[in-house]
Amino acid sequence: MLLLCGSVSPLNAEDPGLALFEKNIRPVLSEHCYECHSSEAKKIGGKLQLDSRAGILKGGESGPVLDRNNPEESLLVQALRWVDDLEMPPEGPLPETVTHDFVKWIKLGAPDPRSNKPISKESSAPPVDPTALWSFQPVTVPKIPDLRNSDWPHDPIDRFILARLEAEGHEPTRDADAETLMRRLHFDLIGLAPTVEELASFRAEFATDKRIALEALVDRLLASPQFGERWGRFWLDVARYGESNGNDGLGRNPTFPNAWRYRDYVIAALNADLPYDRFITEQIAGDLLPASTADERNRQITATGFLAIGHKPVAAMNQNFAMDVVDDQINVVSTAVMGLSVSCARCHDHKHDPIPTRDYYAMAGIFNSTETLWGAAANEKLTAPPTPLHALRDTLEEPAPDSTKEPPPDFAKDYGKSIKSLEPVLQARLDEKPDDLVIEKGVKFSPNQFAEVKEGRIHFETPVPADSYSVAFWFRNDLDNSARAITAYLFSHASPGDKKQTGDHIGIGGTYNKSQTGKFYLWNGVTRNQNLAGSTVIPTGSWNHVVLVRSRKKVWLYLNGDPKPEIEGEMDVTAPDDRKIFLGARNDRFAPLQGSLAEFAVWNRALDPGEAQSLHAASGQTRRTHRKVLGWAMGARDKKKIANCKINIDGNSKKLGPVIPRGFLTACKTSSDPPPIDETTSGRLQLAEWLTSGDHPQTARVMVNRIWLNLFGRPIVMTPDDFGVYGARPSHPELLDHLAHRFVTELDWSLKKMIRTIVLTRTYQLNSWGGAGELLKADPDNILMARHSRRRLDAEALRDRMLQTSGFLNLSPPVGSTIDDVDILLNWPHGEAKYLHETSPHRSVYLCMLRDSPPPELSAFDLPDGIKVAGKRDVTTAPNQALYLFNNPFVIEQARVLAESLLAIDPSASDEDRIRSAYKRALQRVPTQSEVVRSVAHLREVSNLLASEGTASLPKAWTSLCQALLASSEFRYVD
Amino acid sequence: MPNRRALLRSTSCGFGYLALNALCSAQSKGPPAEASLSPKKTPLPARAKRVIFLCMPGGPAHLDTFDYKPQSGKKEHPGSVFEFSQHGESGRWVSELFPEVAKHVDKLCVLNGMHADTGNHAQSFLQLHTGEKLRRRPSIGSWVTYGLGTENQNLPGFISLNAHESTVASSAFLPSIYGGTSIGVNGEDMSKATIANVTGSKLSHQVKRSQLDLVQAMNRDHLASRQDDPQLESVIATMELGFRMQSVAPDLLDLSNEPADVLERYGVGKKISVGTCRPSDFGRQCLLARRFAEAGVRFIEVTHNGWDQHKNHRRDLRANCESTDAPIAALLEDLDQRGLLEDTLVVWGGEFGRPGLKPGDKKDETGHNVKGFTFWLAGGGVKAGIAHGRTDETGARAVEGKVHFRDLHATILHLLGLEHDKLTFHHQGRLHRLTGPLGGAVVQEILA
Repeated sequence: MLLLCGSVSPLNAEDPGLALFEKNIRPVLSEHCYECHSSEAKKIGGKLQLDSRAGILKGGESGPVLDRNNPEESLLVQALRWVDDLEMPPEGPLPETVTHDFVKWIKLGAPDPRSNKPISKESSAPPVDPTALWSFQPVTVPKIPDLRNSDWPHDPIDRFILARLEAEGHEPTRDADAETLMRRLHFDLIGLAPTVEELASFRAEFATDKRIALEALVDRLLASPQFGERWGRFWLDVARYGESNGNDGLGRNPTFPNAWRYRDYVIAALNADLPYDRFITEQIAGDLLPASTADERNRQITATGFLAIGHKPVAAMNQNFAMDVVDDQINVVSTAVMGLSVSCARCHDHKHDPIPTRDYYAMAGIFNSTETLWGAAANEKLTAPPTPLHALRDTLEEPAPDSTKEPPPDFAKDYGKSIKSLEPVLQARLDEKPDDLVIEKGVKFSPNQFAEVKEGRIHFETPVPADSYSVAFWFRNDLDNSARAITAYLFSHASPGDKKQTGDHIGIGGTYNKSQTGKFYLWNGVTRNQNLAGSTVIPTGSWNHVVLVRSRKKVWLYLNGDPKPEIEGEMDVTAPDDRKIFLGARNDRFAPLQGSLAEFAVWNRALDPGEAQSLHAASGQTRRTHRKVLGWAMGARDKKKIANCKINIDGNSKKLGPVIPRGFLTACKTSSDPPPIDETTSGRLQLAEWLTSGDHPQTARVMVNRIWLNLFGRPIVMTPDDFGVYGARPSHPELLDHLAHRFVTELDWSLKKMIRTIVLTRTYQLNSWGGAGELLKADPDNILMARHSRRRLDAEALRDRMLQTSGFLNLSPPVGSTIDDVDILLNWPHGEAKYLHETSPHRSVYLCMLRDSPPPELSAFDLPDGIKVAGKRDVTTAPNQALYLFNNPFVIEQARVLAESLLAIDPSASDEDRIRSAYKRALQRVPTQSEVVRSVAHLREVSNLLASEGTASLPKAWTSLCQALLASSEFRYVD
Repeated sequence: MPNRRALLRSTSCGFGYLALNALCSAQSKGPPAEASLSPKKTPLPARAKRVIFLCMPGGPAHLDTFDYKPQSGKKEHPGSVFEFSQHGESGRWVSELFPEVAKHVDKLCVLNGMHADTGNHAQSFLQLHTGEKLRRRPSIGSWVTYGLGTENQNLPGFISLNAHESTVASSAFLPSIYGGTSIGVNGEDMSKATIANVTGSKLSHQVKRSQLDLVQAMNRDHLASRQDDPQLESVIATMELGFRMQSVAPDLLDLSNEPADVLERYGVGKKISVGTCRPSDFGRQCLLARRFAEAGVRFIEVTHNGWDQHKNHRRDLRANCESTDAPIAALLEDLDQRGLLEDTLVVWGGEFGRPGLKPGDKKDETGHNVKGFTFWLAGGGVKAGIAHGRTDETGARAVEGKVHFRDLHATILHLLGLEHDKLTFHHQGRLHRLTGPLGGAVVQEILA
């Protein structure tokens, strides 16, 4: 678009254009537009001021409004004509004669005698303090400060801390002792307590050589698989992780059964110390990165779950749904990576941060060109309409396009005989119409093509018992798997027309359940509703051999002679007495096969695996394996159609402004130009490249600040998710830049190295108490970091520590999530959610994190809601936490188990011995004599009380003592 | 406070309150940003100290309850289809469906000019609670608790009974201690509903007390060896509070000591299930609300679902009114008698109203009407026995004294002594408030 600016003809009173303006343009502007678009307006609509020459030339939030070379295309004219959803004035389109005048006037160069100066309405607004834009300034390389006490620092980081302390006339407190340090490091790095034995050996090493002992401990913890479980959870807070959508606004909460793969990705990435720039890139654009192995590809596409797991509002009656999804993505990327909230700019230029609406829609174009894959989401069209998922495959090959119809296999001459040798009760080659079967319309037989079926069906009185039989056949399905809800039913053993479909069925999944698309599944009817699915996607048009074997509750489905069953499991026998066998469609004619059938046989017994395989081997066909789908992941991929986004005026997707080329935030400057985005790609890869270019002003600062927060309990910038004008300023700006610079250059974006560097500083190793009382008074919030901050265990660490103390903790990660086969709506009251929160011995990071229905074992301690980015959790102290410690069944159970194991110690042990053992297990220390005495007194008191209540019980008394240990503040706080 | 710690240490009983007072006092050097439920001084004089919100999801039909639209003129037009009569000294018209509430009409301040933005249940319900139609925002109960703290630390500050959906009690971005405590959700048996973790331990009260004494002794030692740490002090305080809540809350929830005539008046246990009218045991909810109000709970929301009687308007509306009439009347009566109505603001209403039917018409089906509907307030500093605002003659739209949800929110906060434009919280780069970017206006005309 060529702009008018600077190309206006000189003003001239005789100018016919000016006359036109005065006669036909100005009155219209004044009557229809000034109310909202002038300096007099209460609120200037779209930042467009039409009451000055400068204003009309400048345009508004949606860009320039006049286009001299193309007057008809001018935004102003389009708006007046009410085309393209931009409709002004709102009362109704003006007569075409008026619009025509505007076209004419623009053609003449929009001559305008009014002021050349914009009449600024907002000049009275307080100017933004330039230091408020600190995070938009490039990261500096601050000089390492000189100090008076240069013996104290271990690392340059310490010099920045001490420099400020010295400047303010303070001194750091003393160093923490070995036990405190080890405990602190354990909780900070892996979220678990050390054992008494580990403490003892560390104390000895520490006494010999502090530095060596510490480095060895830190390296061991960083290498532990528990590191990723601890630090992965921090990132999951930032990534607003959740395993269900959360209330969509209509009270419905669809599950996300595949979200856990993203959780596992994060944990694995942290453990592998994936460099942070790579970590970000994979999450934003993993699907667009090259991969050399199937595993790598699966990992990278799983990473894009970051963009898909967000909470979505209802789609019904919400014309902005698509843009709501985009908004969540813009928000999570900009807040998580840059610490900037861009979302305000969806409706208006950001009031405080230099983020114009144009920038928002430049990013929106990137995500609008991206297809978000969240899956079936309970198949509720009203909530989030079902989408496909990423298929995780065992091969790198891209799935071939659905093949054309294969010709029937050339069966071995004696195939029929071989089948017969296994003594089937029924056998039909299906190359001609069989006599003993009922053939419905829509089945054609021929020697070359066998039985071709289309809406047709074969059925007959069953010759076999419901709980012990086998069937084998060849088939070809010709229907695409995206064509309908269920691609095909091949076989039913049920009663004719039964609407509850009670009995056994073999189907091929369609669009209904995306995790079963193209795969076999066995199902036993509505009432029992058990469903077992395979993992192989059956290519449309391919011939395949199937053997179904049932023996009581056990079922097997063999595919193409593979000795490993495609499906194996238990499924109740439901088939009723009046059942028949149906081939080519279900008992109620639903979803009939479109394709072919051949070499059908039935047995009145369960074939053994060898027999089942022989049925394929005897056919003379080579064994074939189709692509395996190992699982499904939420994520993102480029849309087929890449397009820039139009501005949504006031955030309304029906009120569109001009098209904005895809791009990034203009206020965040990098030294080189941002990478260009071409027509063939959404631009996510370029977005990631720009964010991780190394000199992006926020990316590294935001992350080092988060690391600092998680190690000190207090960040350098108190608002870790808001580095904007409204956010806090850094308490140690030079330190922040020093860390950011080091993170990118010296440490190559390695999170583990950054953490290692920080925990080996002297600052990290300070005591959390001690220090002069003066300092406590002068700096109660510990801004200067002259001491370490005492911290409460977060919800996960508290639960893990309880499990660790009781001995119940299972450190091996569980496979998947309790929700991984549940695709339903979790409505209120929670009902279904309750069994998803069944007790588990695994670490808390693996509990099912349902939005709006969090695990009750965690919810009392400030769990994030999974909707907003949560770089910093609230730390509240409230009575409901005490209630949890007193009454939650989980806590009581851990106390009971601990008590039981104390009582199981050598019978000759004294109460005092057991108490000492309890303290070691719970608090990793030996109790003082007075603590022992107090505990004995408690045991005695409780025993007496229980006896007087007629419920004397030794384990009960010990459980009370153990619960007290778990509830104590010493158990829950780390120095 | 010369030697606070020594004082704390020497006091074993009542320690919690002492520590708490210390935490709340202006001199406390606790972290300034820490969220707290301790009572706060209000910027404006407070007329109401607490709120009972009688939440009526589904859209109560204003024209057949509190907005009388008789036929006027020759041609029949939509209006009220139930009988109305005048009541009380104020002579307000109330529908035959609310005979018991009608007896208290002189206590009510009826807002006939309500309007909101959308006729979509979920969105309007969310707007009623949070000021925002689509995004997750703190509910009004959370804002109030954030602004005022709570008077009785032995109980939650914000309780929602039989909440219709989770957003009702959500603190969203406000610290989680301002979130509502749910007791029973969406049709659960209210007689069994309780506060999470308030019971569970099978130990007797004495054993629990002995256990708590041990915990607190350990906690005091822990604190003593670590200088003054406000976090650890507040742990000690909240352990005590939790312990008390454990005995106070179940007692409050236990209605077995209420006299039979009280249970009768409230209709406790009466459950009507007809069409859209779900059995909500509304009598129990109202009686609990009174007990919570007496105990100093700041914001109590009770729910009767639901008023969305599309198909069988007359039958279902009658059932909904019958379920709630006596309980509401009993609540108003008790609050008044006990002097609580003075400083308790009662609010009745739902996400919108319904269009009227023609009385002569056989049609018995209604939809949603967001352009005009009715709320009523009582007590807590509003004028009694008045009606403010009105709808047009068919009740289709508010034409005078229009009150938007934003204005209602601003007014409720005002009555509580809070300024709606100053009660803000910083989140995602900007300050948020209940009344949103557009703000609301306090309805001055109804202030007593």
